[in-house]
Amino acid sequence: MIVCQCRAVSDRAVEAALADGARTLSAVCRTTGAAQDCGSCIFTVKAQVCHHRATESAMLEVEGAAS
Amino acid sequence: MQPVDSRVVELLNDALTFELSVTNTYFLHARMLDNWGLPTLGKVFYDLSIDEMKDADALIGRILLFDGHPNVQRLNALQIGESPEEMLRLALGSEQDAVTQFNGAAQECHDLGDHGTASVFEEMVLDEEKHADWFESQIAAMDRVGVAQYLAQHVEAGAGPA
Repeated sequence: MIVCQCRAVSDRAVEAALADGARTLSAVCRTTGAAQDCGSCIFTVKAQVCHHRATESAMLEVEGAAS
Repeated sequence: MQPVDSRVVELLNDALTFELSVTNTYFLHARMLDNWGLPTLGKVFYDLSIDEMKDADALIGRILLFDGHPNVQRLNALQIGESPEEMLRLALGSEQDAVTQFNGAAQECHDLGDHGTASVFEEMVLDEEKHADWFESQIAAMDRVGVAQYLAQHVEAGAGPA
């Protein structure tokens, strides 16, 4: 799905940036180009960053409990 | 004419935002599908886009009737599918969201005592339910026969470039 219409950035590109180590909303926007023009997609991208963080911390909790 | 409450105009403008957003989304989906060689599926999205534009027109008319200002600038974040399958799934999601939003708006209008505007929303709910049901059936058919077979019926065999 294309989330940023100005730079044609997909949700997969945002996911890839997060997987590549981008940790903040601004880092994701810088590397993908999303939300750099009109900015309308910023909340969609932010939601994806927050979701990624939540999944990541849940994974760390599981790992912590297992070790 | 004055609305029973200024909230009514807000609800109409929220609905207008939704209609304008899906008008644009469906229009682009239609032309992308044409470009991918799936003109009959493109035509469905094209016709839906025009229907949503007509809904937007009716909403603008009603906001002006209440001496409000129709906000044609605001759009929701657009969700553009990258494959025909994704387009159908996104469309189903957005039609379901519309049903929820317009049901809520109709309820609020009834509570405020504006049954006329409530009936406008109720009619829109019926339309969006029909759209949602169609998309649901398409996804069911696609799951049943497979994506490739489903899409094959949308190729216009033998049609030339003219």
